Amino acid sequence: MSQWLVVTSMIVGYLLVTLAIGLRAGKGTSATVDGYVAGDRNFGLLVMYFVTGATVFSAFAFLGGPGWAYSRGAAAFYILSYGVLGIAPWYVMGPKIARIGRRLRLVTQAQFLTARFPSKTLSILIALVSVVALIPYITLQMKGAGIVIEAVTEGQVPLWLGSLVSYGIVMIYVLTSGVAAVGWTNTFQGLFMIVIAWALGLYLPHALHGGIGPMFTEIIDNHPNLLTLPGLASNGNPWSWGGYTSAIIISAVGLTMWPHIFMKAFTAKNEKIIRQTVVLFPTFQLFLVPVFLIGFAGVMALPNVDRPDFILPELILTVDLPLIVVGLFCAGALSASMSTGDALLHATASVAVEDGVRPFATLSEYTQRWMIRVVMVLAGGVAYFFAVSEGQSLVVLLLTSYGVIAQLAPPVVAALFWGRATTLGVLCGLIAGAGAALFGFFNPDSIPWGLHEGVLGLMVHIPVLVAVSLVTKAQSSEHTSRFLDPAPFQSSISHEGNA
Amino acid sequence: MKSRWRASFAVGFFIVYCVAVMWPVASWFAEPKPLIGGLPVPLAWSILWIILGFVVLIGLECSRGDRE
Repeated sequence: MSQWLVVTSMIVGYLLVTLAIGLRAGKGTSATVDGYVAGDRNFGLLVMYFVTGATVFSAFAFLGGPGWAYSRGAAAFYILSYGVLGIAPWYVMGPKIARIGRRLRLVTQAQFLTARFPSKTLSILIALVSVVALIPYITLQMKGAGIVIEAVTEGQVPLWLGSLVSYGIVMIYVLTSGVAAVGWTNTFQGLFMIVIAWALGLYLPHALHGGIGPMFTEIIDNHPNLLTLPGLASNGNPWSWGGYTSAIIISAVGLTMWPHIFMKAFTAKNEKIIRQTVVLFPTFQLFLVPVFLIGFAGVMALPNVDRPDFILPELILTVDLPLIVVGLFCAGALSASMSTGDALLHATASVAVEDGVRPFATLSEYTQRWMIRVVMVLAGGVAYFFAVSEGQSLVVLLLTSYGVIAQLAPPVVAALFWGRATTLGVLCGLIAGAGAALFGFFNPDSIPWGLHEGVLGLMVHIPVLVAVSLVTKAQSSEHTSRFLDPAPFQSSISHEGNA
Repeated sequence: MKSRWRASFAVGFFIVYCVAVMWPVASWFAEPKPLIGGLPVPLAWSILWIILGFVVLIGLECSRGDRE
């Protein structure tokens, strides 16, 4: 049997196990929107831990992480630095949001924000921002899966087919079981990712350099600038400290604002589980260490890889590894891609229907669930189209979307902690912040010190939110207290927002 | 009072964490040598803060007891 057939058989086996877990997961959940989108708010610690970790660490981390370490050296350490900083505020915010969500039966981020700041415009704006940001993210996951399969099968399974089959399976289990499938498949895939990353991260430096210490000594001797902070920019010149520091800031601010991560606050069984998930998150963050070691292992071993994101598959195929390891690596990379892709697809469709359609039309639970499924297929189709057609602009779009998604942080913080914030203040701040981030992206020379455009957006956003809120009529204290101190919340929602 | 002190400590710690991994403090740990446990200094510095963050979060959660 030829090598690629053995590897393909292992991939098929992995995909079938994932499919079985995904289909089985939905059996216990109710046939309601709550069940489909929020898993009947019944996720325990194990599932929440892996959902959070596996969702955050995507194909970008598994393939892009080694790619950054390989091509940009110490610059990659910013990815290591922002995770714990980004998740720590969730220790306070997550349980509060979950409590409000449970009382008001909220399932999306926009529903949460428009409960505090009643506005259909705000709802559709958040839906639009979310969908525009999420589609390129899904595309990258699909493309990552296709790239890995194509590489390890020696081109016998082309990118279009690898993406189609892996995401066809994702689609089947998410359509059938909703977020419950996302939870249980992520648990399986998260375990897989961690084991494979640590195994390869420790093995490759030893196999290629005789150890981690000798590997770094060799790199320092030959490329002294590569391991010096803040590392290198994409053109090979030294990166600026402004770029490095602002990348940490914007990534930390935006981490829990991604809809597919934010919405998981509504799935937890209780508040303690959200806090414990935050406490345990640093153990998942350390998964990046072996990922970087893989990238560094390639610096001296394979100095001329044109596309840095391919360094991991290139190393796997260069080093004479047993076939089973190649197959397991492929399953690990697919896990990273699919565990994020399924959550993204589910979140995109849920947000589009719950925030983009439901505020404008009365829909039954049955209709909502079916609409979410239809939109999921459409979103998957659009992302697949982009994945198989060449497009540098997608990466560009994704990088832009980070800056835009971070603009959701000030409204969320204001909703939970600032009673004087008003609907108009939040709307104006969001539009001004997102606009400034986009302006900065298209005019990078206008931003000093190489700062990330998202930081520029926040610098415009926050003063606008504060100023407009202070000059507009305050919301009633009865309304705001339900968000600032959610304990006394009653089971029904009032929309008297602006008193 | 005790819980307020713990919360203040945690907030203070994460502010220090934030400062420690960004410019200018991070620039004091920018050079890769000497290797620490086989790792370059900036990598070891980042890992150290993740571990400290983990310890502080565990302490914060344990100190809550079972207040729910």
